[in-house]
Amino acid sequence: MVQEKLSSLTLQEPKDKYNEVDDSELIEVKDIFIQLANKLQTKTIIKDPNFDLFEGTHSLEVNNPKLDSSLIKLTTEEYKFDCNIAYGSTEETQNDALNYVTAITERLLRLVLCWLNNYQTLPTTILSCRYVENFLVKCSNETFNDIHVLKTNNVIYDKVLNSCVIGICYFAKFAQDLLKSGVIFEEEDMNFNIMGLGSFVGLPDQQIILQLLENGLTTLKEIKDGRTERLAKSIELTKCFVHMEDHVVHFSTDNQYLDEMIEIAKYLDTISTKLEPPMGSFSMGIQKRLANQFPPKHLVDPDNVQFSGFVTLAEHVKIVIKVAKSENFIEILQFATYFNKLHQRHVIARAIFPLFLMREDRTVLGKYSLDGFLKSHVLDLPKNATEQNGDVDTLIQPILQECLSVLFEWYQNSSQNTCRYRQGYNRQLLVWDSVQAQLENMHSQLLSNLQLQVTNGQDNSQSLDYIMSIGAWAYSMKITSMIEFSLKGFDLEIYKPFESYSLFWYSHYLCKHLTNALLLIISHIQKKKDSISAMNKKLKIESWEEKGKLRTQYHNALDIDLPQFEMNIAFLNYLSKRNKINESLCLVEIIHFAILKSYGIIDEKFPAKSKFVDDTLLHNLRFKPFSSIGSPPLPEIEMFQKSINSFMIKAPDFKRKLNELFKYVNKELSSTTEMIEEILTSIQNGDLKAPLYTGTRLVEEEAVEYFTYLKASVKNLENNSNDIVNKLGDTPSEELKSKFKVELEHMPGSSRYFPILCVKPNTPRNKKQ
Amino acid sequence: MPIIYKPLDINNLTHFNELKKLIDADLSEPYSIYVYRYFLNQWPELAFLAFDVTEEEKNNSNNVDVSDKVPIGCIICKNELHRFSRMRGYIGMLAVESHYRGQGISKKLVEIAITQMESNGCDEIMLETEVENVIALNLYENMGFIKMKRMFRYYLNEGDAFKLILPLTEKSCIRSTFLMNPQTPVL
Amino acid sequence: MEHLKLGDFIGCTLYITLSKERFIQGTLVAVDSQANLLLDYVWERTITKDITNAKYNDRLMGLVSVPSDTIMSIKITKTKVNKLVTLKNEMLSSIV
Repeated sequence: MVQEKLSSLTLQEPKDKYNEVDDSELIEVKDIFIQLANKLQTKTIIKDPNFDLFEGTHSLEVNNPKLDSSLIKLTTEEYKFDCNIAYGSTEETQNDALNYVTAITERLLRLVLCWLNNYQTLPTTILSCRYVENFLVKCSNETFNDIHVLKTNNVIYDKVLNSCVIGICYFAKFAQDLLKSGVIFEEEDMNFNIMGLGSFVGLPDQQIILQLLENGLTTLKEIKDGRTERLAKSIELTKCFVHMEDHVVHFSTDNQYLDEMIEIAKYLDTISTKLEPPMGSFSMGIQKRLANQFPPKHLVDPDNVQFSGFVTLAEHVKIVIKVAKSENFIEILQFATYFNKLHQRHVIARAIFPLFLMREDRTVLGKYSLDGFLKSHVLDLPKNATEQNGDVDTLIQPILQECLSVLFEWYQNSSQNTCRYRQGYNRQLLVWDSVQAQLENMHSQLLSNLQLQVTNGQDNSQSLDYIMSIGAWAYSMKITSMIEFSLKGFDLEIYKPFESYSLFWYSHYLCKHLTNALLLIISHIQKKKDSISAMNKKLKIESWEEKGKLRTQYHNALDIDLPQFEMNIAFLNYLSKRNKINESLCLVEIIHFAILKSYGIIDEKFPAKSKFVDDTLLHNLRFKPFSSIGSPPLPEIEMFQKSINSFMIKAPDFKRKLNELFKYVNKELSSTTEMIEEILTSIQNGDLKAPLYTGTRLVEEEAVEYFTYLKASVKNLENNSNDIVNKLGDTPSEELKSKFKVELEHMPGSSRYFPILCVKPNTPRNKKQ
Repeated sequence: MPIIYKPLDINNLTHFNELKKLIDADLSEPYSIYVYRYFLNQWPELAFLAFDVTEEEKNNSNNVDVSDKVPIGCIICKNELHRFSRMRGYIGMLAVESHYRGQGISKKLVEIAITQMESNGCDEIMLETEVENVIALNLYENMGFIKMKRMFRYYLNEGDAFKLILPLTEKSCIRSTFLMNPQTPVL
Repeated sequence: MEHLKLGDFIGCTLYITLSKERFIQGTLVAVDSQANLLLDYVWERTITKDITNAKYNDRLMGLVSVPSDTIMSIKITKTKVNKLVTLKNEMLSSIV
């Protein structure tokens, strides 16, 4: 009985509009509420037990100027503004109409940059334009069928402005599609508070919109006024926007509209005459008129925003679509590694990259199957390696799927913003670890089953090899993730100076393990190369019948596998060298730290007094991401402490020991420079000379910059050695500690993974902290 | 300047309003009444107020009645089970009136709050703060908070933020995934 | 109506007058001891005085905190009140 009644209490009123209820139907309950509330204890909140008050923390608030968009005050012009009035147009002349429309379109285009390049919100940028609101409101209606939404009787508004507004809305829809595909993050990478207008139900097709824009251009040509050229440029720029989706919808590699965008943007920046749009044409009004679940926000001022922002957008998209020219998977891998690494690319470009690369048809660039693409990454597998043993094949499939999935994540991560990039590795290293563990389990299981299967005549050595190859690759990917995660923390300024010792030390430790892992893979490939030669020898002694089959095998191996193996070895040589560079730089940082500790001005222990934590707890928290990783094992904190003690120097002979240490550092740095030069040479000569293969043909500029930055870091570290002695003298003394402190400093033009441990004066104000 | 620190009395409506005023004035993020209700009604014992008193009152702080006094500083926190695996304290808001700054009042408020959360069984304390907020970073880092994460454009699309954690027990140093025991009933 | 408590109103649609020009309606989600309300799925109607044809502007605001001192009146439909009272009486009478 009660149940029935409860279910009849479901809300009858519709929630998609304001419900008009006659007053005769309503009862006043305010007094009842107040009376009942007064009886409550102050700590009580009456609510549904399933409702989490946490949701309430995001609520708006009536009459709170910071949280109530209805309180927004508008000017008379804003209230009176009418999109169907041709502002500036009189019977005799269209003089001001042209100026006004030019001003509106240019402001709108600048606001697109504010939205995308400067990460501002939609309502404070393009939605603040009355014409955009006007169109979007109309086109969110299902019955919308007349794209000529402006009826001012002035063609400059009705044809030209209209086309620009619709074109920009079309681009906004494209941005929404990018967000929906999950490759970038709403709020973080791009705001999309579309205020209830996001259905775009009536939005015309691309072709219709392009036609509208063409008509707008034609209209302008027919007006005999020199000033139309300026407005025409904005229309052409809008056309380029409308074509942006071609790179995702048709995977277009055509740079035409991107180049045009660059050209037009540069032109528009040469124009110095400022034009003002009609008053009220841009307004906060939309925030109080339309559905709005966000607090009020002041409009962004686009006046100082340069059109060169479009150059950035177009150039970055041009970079991204270059990946289509890849000729092998290493080039794709390196492309993903470098295109977004040193400088975060424009959000639109970053969103296009993963969609362009890994397509809905489960291909990579329409050229490679995802499966084949994955297998290519396992460098010591021959190109068409498949698992022969049926049982093993079945068992290994789910693990391969997981490998594919984390590899996919790695690629997705490469286009993320700089903060998310590090977080991505935090997750990935766990997955690589799990994959590696599963493969090792499978390997040992197969090994122990070997005895049983020997009677079936099955040769499982190939299976063992296959599993081990994937395992070795997963292991190297894992360590690489761990190194990236650790060093990226310096870029993001996560670590305090006192922590830098353990992070550089740990990174150095990981680099050493990676060196070994890469060497192991190289030796596997070498063995496989050797077995191909062995095939040749075998050919010579085989019987005639066997020869035929073997010959085909041999020629396949020679033509397909051997070149692949050679390229892979050359690539591994490059990876090893790059890793060695990181290893050396970490070592130099460690030594600098030890030297500074020897002077007494820094310590790897927590520098302040805290009643809550000790060094062990802080160390363990810092290394939490790695605590579950079995291999390489996370050393105990004592290991870290022992090693720094071994690097430190103390009296007697402080000066001599110091000089020796600096000599060692310089030697290390100069061999690092050599390695960097070797890589740079290889990159700039298109990898023509073995033994290195960098695969950076398509990201040559970016890769060169990356290694040039590393070279600068080498220089800065060299200089820092001198700087340390110059500031601190030849011998440590008690007073140094109070006079100096150490800060991690990023020097422009150098790698942010290796900030300099810089000696700075300890000003009294700082000491107060 | 003698300052005493008292936990919030949730029944004191004046204090509730004064606290709101302190924070609304100080911080740029707008908060509705229900933000305060969320914290203060569920964790009133984790909100502390600072009062400017006389020397005499300070010496007799346990017996001082602050109900009519206006707080000059406050801190608002919460603690709850995080990912079913560890108890996490959270510092929500901290504000000190401008002419009382630079005297260590913030530091004291934070210490008192953390001590309370520690005795509530917290394994760690967490908070977020803007990358540019050097004063806050210094305050917390000198207590042992370390930066765990940087978040892109966290605050109303204006700037990056750091997530800071102060570890109190070993549980803070183990990933939640490995702390969760499927056999343990979910609390 | 005497037996009704605040908790009974949770989940009901409240029709609130904030001023002569501003009305909101939404689902009651929480109430505190000061009668500050938290409403969800809030629709707002503002009576406009501008020159355009529209006499009012309706829009969705979502989750909104409504402080007690901003409220001129709170109304509920008679139907709803009757249902609440009936249910309450039934529950009270079923308690032995």
